[in-house]
Amino acid sequence: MSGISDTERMITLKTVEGTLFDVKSSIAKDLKTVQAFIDDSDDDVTSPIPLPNVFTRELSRILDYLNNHHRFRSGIEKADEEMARYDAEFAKSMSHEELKALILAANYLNVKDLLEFLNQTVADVIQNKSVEFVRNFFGIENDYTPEEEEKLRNENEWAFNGVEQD
Amino acid sequence: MDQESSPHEAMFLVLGYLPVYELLLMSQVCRSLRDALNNDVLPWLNILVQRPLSSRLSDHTLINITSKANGGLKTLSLINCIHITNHGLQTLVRQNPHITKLHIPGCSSITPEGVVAAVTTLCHGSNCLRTLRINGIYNLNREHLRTLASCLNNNLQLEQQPRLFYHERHRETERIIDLEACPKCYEAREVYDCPKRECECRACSFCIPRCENCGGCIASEQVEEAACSDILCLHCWLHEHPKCSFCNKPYCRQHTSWWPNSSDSTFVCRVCQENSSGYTYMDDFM
Repeated sequence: MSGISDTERMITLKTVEGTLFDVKSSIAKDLKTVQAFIDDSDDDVTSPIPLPNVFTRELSRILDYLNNHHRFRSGIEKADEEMARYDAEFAKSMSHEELKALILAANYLNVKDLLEFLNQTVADVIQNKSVEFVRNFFGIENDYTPEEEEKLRNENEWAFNGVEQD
Repeated sequence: MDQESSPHEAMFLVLGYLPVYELLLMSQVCRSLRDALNNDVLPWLNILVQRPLSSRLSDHTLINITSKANGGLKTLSLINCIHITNHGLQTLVRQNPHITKLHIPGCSSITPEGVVAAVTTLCHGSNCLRTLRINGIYNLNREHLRTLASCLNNNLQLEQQPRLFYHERHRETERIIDLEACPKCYEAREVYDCPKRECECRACSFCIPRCENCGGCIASEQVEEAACSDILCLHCWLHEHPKCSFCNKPYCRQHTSWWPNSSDSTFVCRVCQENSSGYTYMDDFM
Protein backbone atom coordinates (compact mmCIF):
# COMPACT_ATOMS: atom_id res chain seq x y z
CA MET A 1 0.00 0.00 0.00
CA SER A 2 1.54 3.31 -0.97
CA GLY A 3 1.79 6.02 1.62
CA ILE A 4 0.54 9.50 0.96
CA SER A 5 3.32 11.57 -0.57
CA ASP A 6 4.20 15.04 0.67
CA THR A 7 2.28 16.62 -2.16
CA GLU A 8 -0.82 14.47 -1.57
CA ARG A 9 -3.25 16.40 0.58
CA MET A 10 -6.59 15.24 1.89
CA ILE A 11 -9.76 17.12 1.04
CA THR A 12 -12.93 16.68 3.04
CA LEU A 13 -16.28 16.62 1.29
CA LYS A 14 -19.68 16.87 2.96
CA THR A 15 -22.82 15.37 1.44
CA VAL A 16 -26.44 16.47 1.81
CA GLU A 17 -26.89 14.15 4.79
CA GLY A 18 -23.83 15.65 6.46
CA THR A 19 -21.57 12.61 5.97
CA LEU A 20 -17.89 13.51 5.66
CA PHE A 21 -15.59 11.89 3.09
CA ASP A 22 -11.80 12.26 3.14
CA VAL A 23 -10.48 12.29 -0.39
CA LYS A 24 -6.92 12.41 -1.71
CA SER A 25 -6.26 15.54 -3.71
CA SER A 26 -5.27 13.40 -6.71
CA ILE A 27 -8.75 11.87 -6.70
CA ALA A 28 -10.38 15.23 -6.07
CA LYS A 29 -8.85 16.42 -9.32
CA ASP A 30 -11.28 14.15 -11.18
CA LEU A 31 -14.18 15.91 -9.47
CA LYS A 32 -13.80 18.99 -11.60
CA THR A 33 -16.44 20.97 -9.75
CA VAL A 34 -14.61 20.38 -6.48
CA GLN A 35 -11.27 21.16 -8.08
CA ALA A 36 -12.63 24.47 -9.36
CA PHE A 37 -13.77 25.30 -5.86
CA ILE A 38 -10.32 24.51 -4.50
CA ASP A 39 -8.65 26.59 -7.19
CA ASP A 40 -10.95 29.50 -6.45
CA SER A 41 -10.18 29.40 -2.74
CA ASP A 42 -6.49 29.85 -3.50
CA ASP A 43 -5.77 26.29 -2.41
CA ASP A 44 -6.58 27.15 1.16
CA VAL A 45 -9.23 24.59 1.97
CA THR A 46 -9.28 23.40 5.53
CA SER A 47 -12.95 23.02 6.33
CA PRO A 48 -15.17 20.41 4.65
CA ILE A 49 -16.49 21.39 1.22
CA PRO A 50 -20.29 21.16 1.21
CA LEU A 51 -21.93 19.42 -1.77
CA PRO A 52 -25.59 20.44 -1.50
CA ASN A 53 -26.73 18.34 -4.49
CA VAL A 54 -24.91 15.12 -3.74
CA PHE A 55 -26.13 12.32 -1.51
CA THR A 56 -23.93 9.94 0.45
CA ARG A 57 -24.87 6.91 -1.64
CA GLU A 58 -23.82 8.63 -4.87
CA LEU A 59 -20.59 10.16 -3.58
CA SER A 60 -19.58 6.84 -2.10
CA ARG A 61 -20.09 5.13 -5.47
CA ILE A 62 -18.24 7.84 -7.37
CA LEU A 63 -15.24 7.69 -5.07
CA ASP A 64 -15.28 3.91 -5.31
CA TYR A 65 -15.16 4.13 -9.09
CA LEU A 66 -12.40 6.72 -9.15
CA ASN A 67 -10.26 4.92 -6.58
CA ASN A 68 -10.49 1.69 -8.53
CA HIS A 69 -9.75 3.31 -11.87
CA HIS A 70 -6.72 5.09 -10.42
CA ARG A 71 -5.53 1.76 -9.13
CA PHE A 72 -5.99 0.06 -12.52
CA ARG A 73 -4.23 2.81 -14.36
CA SER A 74 -1.21 2.83 -12.09
CA GLY A 75 -0.76 -0.91 -12.50
CA ILE A 76 1.17 -2.45 -15.40
CA GLU A 77 -0.48 -4.66 -18.02
CA LYS A 78 -3.79 -6.49 -18.29
CA ALA A 79 -5.46 -3.59 -16.52
CA ASP A 80 -7.84 -3.16 -19.46
CA GLU A 81 -9.58 -6.49 -18.90
CA GLU A 82 -9.82 -6.02 -15.16
CA MET A 83 -11.14 -2.52 -15.63
CA ALA A 84 -13.78 -3.71 -18.10
CA ARG A 85 -14.85 -6.40 -15.65
CA TYR A 86 -15.05 -3.89 -12.82
CA ASP A 87 -17.06 -1.48 -14.97
CA ALA A 88 -19.53 -4.21 -15.95
CA GLU A 89 -20.04 -5.22 -12.31
CA PHE A 90 -20.36 -1.60 -11.30
CA ALA A 91 -23.10 -0.96 -13.84
CA LYS A 92 -24.93 -4.19 -13.00
CA SER A 93 -24.95 -3.48 -9.28
CA MET A 94 -27.30 -0.51 -9.67
CA SER A 95 -31.02 -0.28 -10.25
CA HIS A 96 -32.31 2.11 -12.90
CA GLU A 97 -33.16 4.63 -10.18
CA GLU A 98 -29.68 4.48 -8.78
CA LEU A 99 -28.18 4.78 -12.25
CA LYS A 100 -30.12 7.96 -12.97
CA ALA A 101 -29.24 9.45 -9.60
CA LEU A 102 -25.59 8.68 -10.19
CA ILE A 103 -25.62 10.37 -13.59
CA LEU A 104 -26.98 13.55 -12.06
CA ALA A 105 -24.40 13.46 -9.28
CA ALA A 106 -21.56 12.76 -11.73
CA ASN A 107 -22.81 15.57 -13.92
CA TYR A 108 -22.93 18.02 -11.00
CA LEU A 109 -19.46 17.03 -9.86
CA ASN A 110 -18.25 17.01 -13.46
CA VAL A 111 -16.57 13.61 -13.44
CA LYS A 112 -15.94 13.23 -17.16
CA ASP A 113 -14.93 9.56 -17.55
CA LEU A 114 -17.56 8.23 -15.19
CA LEU A 115 -20.24 10.34 -16.86
CA GLU A 116 -19.30 8.98 -20.26
CA PHE A 117 -19.42 5.42 -18.95
CA LEU A 118 -22.80 5.90 -17.26
CA ASN A 119 -24.35 7.54 -20.29
CA GLN A 120 -23.15 4.71 -22.48
CA THR A 121 -24.60 2.23 -19.99
CA VAL A 122 -27.99 3.92 -20.08
CA ALA A 123 -27.82 4.09 -23.88
CA ASP A 124 -27.26 0.32 -23.89
CA VAL A 125 -30.27 -0.18 -21.62
CA ILE A 126 -32.52 1.87 -23.90
CA GLN A 127 -31.32 0.21 -27.08
CA ASN A 128 -34.05 -1.62 -28.95
CA LYS A 129 -36.71 -0.76 -26.41
CA SER A 130 -40.08 0.92 -26.92
CA VAL A 131 -41.17 4.50 -26.38
CA GLU A 132 -43.17 3.38 -23.35
CA PHE A 133 -40.11 1.78 -21.82
CA VAL A 134 -38.13 4.99 -22.18
CA ARG A 135 -40.96 6.99 -20.61
CA ASN A 136 -41.08 4.64 -17.65
CA PHE A 137 -37.34 4.57 -17.29
CA PHE A 138 -37.00 8.35 -17.06
CA GLY A 139 -40.34 8.94 -15.38
CA ILE A 140 -41.57 11.14 -18.22
CA GLU A 141 -45.16 12.06 -18.91
CA ASN A 142 -46.42 11.86 -22.47
CA ASP A 143 -47.32 15.46 -23.32
CA TYR A 144 -48.26 14.81 -26.93
CA THR A 145 -51.81 15.03 -28.20
CA PRO A 146 -52.96 11.90 -30.04
CA GLU A 147 -52.78 13.84 -33.32
CA GLU A 148 -49.20 14.92 -32.72
CA GLU A 149 -48.22 11.38 -31.83
CA GLU A 150 -49.85 10.09 -34.99
CA LYS A 151 -48.02 12.69 -37.09
CA LEU A 152 -44.66 11.79 -35.58
CA ARG A 153 -45.29 8.10 -36.02
CA ASN A 154 -46.03 8.65 -39.70
CA GLU A 155 -42.89 10.72 -40.19
CA ASN A 156 -40.78 7.98 -38.69
CA GLU A 157 -42.66 5.10 -40.23
CA TRP A 158 -39.81 4.25 -42.58
CA ALA A 159 -37.71 3.39 -39.53
CA PHE A 160 -40.20 1.45 -37.48
CA ASN A 161 -42.22 -0.24 -40.13
CA GLY A 162 -42.15 -3.98 -39.75
CA VAL A 163 -39.82 -4.02 -36.75
CA GLU A 164 -37.96 -7.31 -36.75
CA GLN A 165 -38.12 -9.47 -33.68
CA ASP A 166 -34.71 -10.63 -32.55
CA MET B 1 -35.57 14.33 -4.73
CA ASP B 2 -37.56 16.79 -6.79
CA GLN B 3 -39.31 15.23 -9.77
CA GLU B 4 -39.30 18.13 -12.17
CA SER B 5 -35.80 18.75 -13.39
CA SER B 6 -34.08 15.47 -12.48
CA PRO B 7 -35.37 12.90 -14.97
CA HIS B 8 -35.19 15.29 -17.88
CA GLU B 9 -31.65 16.35 -17.19
CA ALA B 10 -30.35 12.82 -17.17
CA MET B 11 -32.02 11.91 -20.43
CA PHE B 12 -30.62 14.87 -22.34
CA LEU B 13 -27.15 13.74 -21.42
CA VAL B 14 -27.76 10.31 -22.91
CA LEU B 15 -28.76 11.58 -26.34
CA GLY B 16 -25.22 11.85 -27.66
CA TYR B 17 -24.64 8.15 -26.99
CA LEU B 18 -27.60 6.78 -28.89
CA PRO B 19 -27.68 5.19 -32.34
CA VAL B 20 -29.99 6.84 -34.87
CA TYR B 21 -32.82 4.36 -34.31
CA GLU B 22 -32.99 5.26 -30.63
CA LEU B 23 -32.77 8.98 -31.40
CA LEU B 24 -35.88 8.70 -33.55
CA LEU B 25 -37.56 6.83 -30.73
CA MET B 26 -36.62 9.52 -28.25
CA SER B 27 -38.24 12.20 -30.37
CA GLN B 28 -41.54 10.38 -29.85
CA VAL B 29 -41.23 10.26 -26.07
CA CYS B 30 -42.15 13.83 -25.19
CA ARG B 31 -42.04 17.36 -26.53
CA SER B 32 -38.93 18.57 -24.75
CA LEU B 33 -36.94 15.66 -26.13
CA ARG B 34 -38.27 16.25 -29.62
CA ASP B 35 -37.30 19.92 -29.36
CA ALA B 36 -33.89 19.09 -27.96
CA LEU B 37 -33.25 16.80 -30.90
CA ASN B 38 -34.53 19.27 -33.47
CA ASN B 39 -32.63 22.25 -32.12
CA ASP B 40 -29.42 20.76 -30.88
CA VAL B 41 -26.51 19.74 -33.06
CA LEU B 42 -24.70 17.62 -30.46
CA PRO B 43 -26.69 14.37 -30.69
CA TRP B 44 -26.14 14.33 -34.45
CA LEU B 45 -22.37 14.66 -34.57
CA ASN B 46 -21.75 10.95 -34.14
CA ILE B 47 -24.01 8.88 -36.32
CA LEU B 48 -24.43 5.15 -35.81
CA VAL B 49 -26.85 3.15 -37.94
CA GLN B 50 -27.16 -0.55 -37.18
CA ARG B 51 -29.89 -3.18 -36.93
CA PRO B 52 -32.82 -2.80 -37.29
CA LEU B 53 -32.36 0.42 -39.20
CA SER B 54 -29.57 -0.72 -41.55
CA SER B 55 -31.72 -2.24 -44.25
CA ARG B 56 -34.25 0.60 -44.11
CA LEU B 57 -31.85 3.46 -44.65
CA SER B 58 -31.90 5.11 -48.06
CA ASP B 59 -29.53 7.74 -49.48
CA HIS B 60 -32.23 10.36 -49.10
CA THR B 61 -32.89 9.65 -45.44
CA LEU B 62 -29.19 9.44 -44.69
CA ILE B 63 -28.61 12.91 -46.15
CA ASN B 64 -31.52 14.23 -44.06
CA ILE B 65 -30.08 12.79 -40.89
CA THR B 66 -26.51 13.88 -41.48
CA SER B 67 -27.60 17.39 -42.43
CA LYS B 68 -28.59 17.90 -38.79
CA ALA B 69 -24.90 18.09 -37.98
CA ASN B 70 -24.67 21.37 -39.92
CA GLY B 71 -21.50 20.29 -41.63
CA GLY B 72 -19.81 19.27 -38.41
CA LEU B 73 -20.32 15.50 -38.58
CA LYS B 74 -17.46 13.85 -36.72
CA THR B 75 -17.99 10.10 -36.96
CA LEU B 76 -20.11 7.99 -39.27
CA SER B 77 -20.82 4.32 -38.64
CA LEU B 78 -23.09 2.63 -41.14
CA ILE B 79 -23.26 -1.06 -40.39
CA ASN B 80 -24.56 -3.20 -43.26
CA CYS B 81 -26.52 -0.32 -44.75
CA ILE B 82 -26.98 -2.12 -48.02
CA HIS B 83 -28.99 0.57 -49.81
CA ILE B 84 -26.50 3.39 -49.43
CA THR B 85 -24.83 4.15 -52.75
CA ASN B 86 -21.70 5.96 -53.84
CA HIS B 87 -23.85 8.98 -54.60
CA GLY B 88 -25.28 9.13 -51.08
CA LEU B 89 -21.84 8.72 -49.55
CA GLN B 90 -20.24 11.37 -51.75
CA THR B 91 -23.02 13.88 -51.08
CA LEU B 92 -22.77 13.57 -47.34
CA VAL B 93 -18.99 13.64 -47.39
CA ARG B 94 -19.00 16.82 -49.41
CA GLN B 95 -21.41 18.35 -46.90
CA ASN B 96 -19.35 17.15 -43.94
CA PRO B 97 -15.69 17.24 -44.91
CA HIS B 98 -14.31 16.96 -41.38
CA ILE B 99 -15.34 13.40 -40.64
CA THR B 100 -12.63 11.64 -38.63
CA LYS B 101 -14.06 8.14 -38.58
CA LEU B 102 -15.69 6.49 -41.59
CA HIS B 103 -16.96 3.01 -40.79
CA ILE B 104 -19.04 1.47 -43.58
CA PRO B 105 -18.66 -2.30 -43.21
CA GLY B 106 -21.08 -4.37 -45.24
CA CYS B 107 -22.45 -1.38 -47.18
CA SER B 108 -22.52 -3.54 -50.26
CA SER B 109 -23.93 -1.00 -52.72
CA ILE B 110 -20.86 1.14 -52.27
CA THR B 111 -18.06 0.30 -54.69
CA PRO B 112 -14.29 0.59 -54.23
CA GLU B 113 -14.34 3.66 -56.47
CA GLY B 114 -16.89 5.25 -54.17
CA VAL B 115 -14.72 4.55 -51.16
CA VAL B 116 -11.63 6.02 -52.80
CA ALA B 117 -13.56 9.13 -53.85
CA ALA B 118 -14.94 9.66 -50.34
CA VAL B 119 -11.61 9.07 -48.63
CA THR B 120 -9.84 11.40 -51.05
CA THR B 121 -12.28 14.17 -50.16
CA LEU B 122 -11.88 13.49 -46.46
CA CYS B 123 -8.10 13.57 -46.62
CA HIS B 124 -7.91 16.68 -48.75
CA GLY B 125 -6.09 19.70 -47.31
CA SER B 126 -6.55 19.96 -43.59
CA ASN B 127 -9.35 17.41 -43.45
CA CYS B 128 -8.59 14.71 -41.01
CA LEU B 129 -10.02 11.26 -41.65
CA ARG B 130 -8.34 8.92 -39.18
CA THR B 131 -9.97 5.52 -39.33
CA LEU B 132 -11.66 3.55 -42.09
CA ARG B 133 -13.63 0.29 -41.97
CA ILE B 134 -14.58 -1.26 -45.29
CA ASN B 135 -14.82 -5.00 -44.66
CA GLY B 136 -17.70 -6.32 -46.74
CA ILE B 137 -17.45 -3.89 -49.62
CA TYR B 138 -17.16 -5.99 -52.74
CA ASN B 139 -14.33 -6.10 -55.27
CA LEU B 140 -11.70 -4.36 -53.19
CA ASN B 141 -8.17 -5.26 -54.26
CA ARG B 142 -4.61 -4.46 -53.25
CA GLU B 143 -4.43 -1.45 -55.54
CA HIS B 144 -7.41 0.13 -53.84
CA LEU B 145 -5.88 -0.51 -50.46
CA ARG B 146 -2.59 1.05 -51.52
CA THR B 147 -4.40 4.14 -52.77
CA LEU B 148 -6.41 4.42 -49.57
CA ALA B 149 -3.35 3.92 -47.40
CA SER B 150 -1.45 6.64 -49.17
CA CYS B 151 -4.39 9.04 -48.80
CA LEU B 152 -4.73 8.39 -45.12
CA ASN B 153 -1.14 8.52 -44.13
CA ASN B 154 1.75 8.81 -46.48
CA ASN B 155 3.92 6.54 -44.45
CA LEU B 156 1.33 3.95 -43.58
CA GLN B 157 2.53 0.43 -44.14
CA LEU B 158 -0.62 -1.61 -43.88
CA GLU B 159 1.18 -4.58 -42.33
CA GLN B 160 2.59 -2.48 -39.52
CA GLN B 161 -0.70 -1.54 -37.93
CA PRO B 162 -1.75 -2.91 -34.54
CA ARG B 163 -2.28 -6.66 -34.72
CA LEU B 164 -5.68 -8.18 -35.18
CA PHE B 165 -6.67 -11.50 -33.61
CA TYR B 166 -9.49 -13.62 -34.98
CA HIS B 167 -11.23 -14.15 -31.63
CA GLU B 168 -11.20 -10.38 -31.06
CA ARG B 169 -12.28 -9.38 -34.54
CA HIS B 170 -15.53 -7.83 -33.35
CA ARG B 171 -13.78 -5.48 -30.97
CA GLU B 172 -12.94 -1.90 -31.83
CA THR B 173 -9.28 -1.53 -32.70
CA GLU B 174 -6.78 1.25 -33.21
CA ARG B 175 -6.12 0.24 -36.77
CA ILE B 176 -6.32 2.91 -39.43
CA ILE B 177 -7.72 0.57 -42.09
CA ASP B 178 -9.27 -2.77 -41.17
CA LEU B 179 -8.13 -4.57 -44.33
CA GLU B 180 -4.81 -5.48 -45.90
CA ALA B 181 -3.57 -7.76 -48.68
CA CYS B 182 -3.49 -11.32 -47.35
CA PRO B 183 0.10 -12.60 -47.49
CA LYS B 184 -1.14 -15.92 -48.88
CA CYS B 185 -3.93 -15.16 -51.36
CA TYR B 186 -3.27 -11.45 -51.89
CA GLU B 187 -6.95 -10.61 -51.59
CA ALA B 188 -8.04 -7.53 -49.63
CA ARG B 189 -9.16 -9.09 -46.35
CA GLU B 190 -8.95 -8.85 -42.59
CA VAL B 191 -5.60 -10.47 -41.84
CA TYR B 192 -5.18 -12.13 -38.47
CA ASP B 193 -2.06 -12.67 -36.42
CA CYS B 194 -1.64 -15.80 -34.35
CA PRO B 195 -1.80 -15.53 -30.57
CA LYS B 196 0.02 -18.84 -30.12
CA ARG B 197 3.49 -18.43 -28.70
CA GLU B 198 6.21 -18.52 -31.32
CA CYS B 199 3.73 -18.86 -34.14
CA GLU B 200 3.99 -16.07 -36.66
CA CYS B 201 1.37 -17.13 -39.15
CA ARG B 202 -0.53 -14.27 -40.73
CA ALA B 203 -3.35 -14.69 -43.21
CA CYS B 204 -7.06 -14.19 -43.78
CA SER B 205 -9.51 -16.68 -42.28
CA PHE B 206 -10.05 -18.34 -45.64
CA CYS B 207 -6.38 -19.24 -45.93
CA ILE B 208 -5.77 -20.22 -42.31
CA PRO B 209 -8.73 -21.49 -40.29
CA ARG B 210 -8.74 -20.19 -36.73
CA CYS B 211 -10.36 -21.06 -33.45
CA GLU B 212 -13.35 -18.94 -32.49
CA ASN B 213 -12.39 -19.00 -28.81
CA CYS B 214 -8.63 -18.43 -28.80
CA GLY B 215 -7.85 -17.19 -32.32
CA GLY B 216 -5.10 -19.77 -32.77
CA CYS B 217 -4.42 -21.36 -36.13
CA ILE B 218 -5.82 -24.86 -36.65
CA ALA B 219 -4.32 -27.48 -38.93
CA SER B 220 -7.06 -28.66 -41.29
CA GLU B 221 -7.22 -32.20 -39.84
CA GLN B 222 -7.75 -30.82 -36.35
CA VAL B 223 -10.72 -28.58 -36.98
CA GLU B 224 -13.50 -29.24 -34.47
CA GLU B 225 -17.01 -28.01 -35.03
CA ALA B 226 -19.09 -26.40 -32.30
CA ALA B 227 -22.86 -26.77 -32.08
CA CYS B 228 -23.22 -23.28 -33.55
CA SER B 229 -21.15 -24.37 -36.60
CA ASP B 230 -18.24 -22.14 -35.64
CA ILE B 231 -14.91 -23.90 -35.50
CA LEU B 232 -12.74 -24.55 -32.49
CA CYS B 233 -9.27 -25.92 -32.00
CA LEU B 234 -9.01 -29.25 -30.22
CA HIS B 235 -7.82 -27.68 -27.00
CA CYS B 236 -10.71 -25.23 -26.74
CA TRP B 237 -13.18 -27.89 -27.84
CA LEU B 238 -12.04 -30.19 -25.04
CA HIS B 239 -12.18 -27.44 -22.43
CA GLU B 240 -15.46 -25.86 -23.40
CA HIS B 241 -18.46 -26.82 -21.29
CA PRO B 242 -21.23 -27.71 -21.27
CA LYS B 243 -21.53 -30.14 -24.18
CA CYS B 244 -24.72 -31.33 -25.82
CA SER B 245 -25.99 -34.63 -24.43
CA PHE B 246 -26.73 -35.88 -27.93
CA CYS B 247 -24.02 -34.70 -30.30
CA ASN B 248 -21.41 -33.90 -27.65
CA LYS B 249 -20.64 -30.51 -29.15
CA PRO B 250 -20.15 -27.37 -27.08
CA TYR B 251 -21.13 -23.88 -28.10
CA CYS B 252 -18.30 -21.45 -28.77
CA ARG B 253 -17.85 -18.68 -26.23
CA GLN B 254 -19.74 -16.18 -28.34
CA HIS B 255 -22.81 -18.40 -28.43
CA THR B 256 -23.03 -19.84 -24.93
CA SER B 257 -26.28 -17.94 -24.50
CA TRP B 258 -27.81 -20.25 -27.12
CA TRP B 259 -28.24 -23.12 -24.65
CA PRO B 260 -32.01 -23.49 -24.20
CA ASN B 261 -33.22 -23.25 -20.62
CA SER B 262 -33.79 -26.70 -19.25
CA SER B 263 -35.27 -27.67 -15.94
CA ASP B 264 -32.91 -30.61 -15.47
CA SER B 265 -29.17 -30.53 -15.76
CA THR B 266 -28.87 -31.99 -19.26
CA PHE B 267 -27.92 -29.73 -22.11
CA VAL B 268 -29.28 -30.26 -25.57
CA CYS B 269 -28.16 -27.95 -28.34
CA ARG B 270 -30.72 -26.26 -30.57
CA VAL B 271 -30.00 -28.45 -33.56
CA CYS B 272 -30.49 -31.66 -31.62
CA GLN B 273 -33.61 -30.27 -29.98
CA GLU B 274 -35.13 -29.51 -33.35
CA ASN B 275 -34.12 -32.86 -34.73
CA SER B 276 -35.49 -34.77 -31.79
CA SER B 277 -38.85 -33.07 -31.41
CA GLY B 278 -41.50 -35.02 -33.27
CA TYR B 279 -39.36 -38.13 -33.43
CA THR B 280 -39.89 -41.07 -31.18
CA TYR B 281 -36.26 -42.06 -31.34
CA MET B 282 -35.70 -40.39 -27.99
CA ASP B 283 -37.94 -43.05 -26.46
CA ASP B 284 -35.68 -45.76 -27.85
CA PHE B 285 -32.85 -44.32 -25.79
CA MET B 286 -34.74 -44.36 -22.51
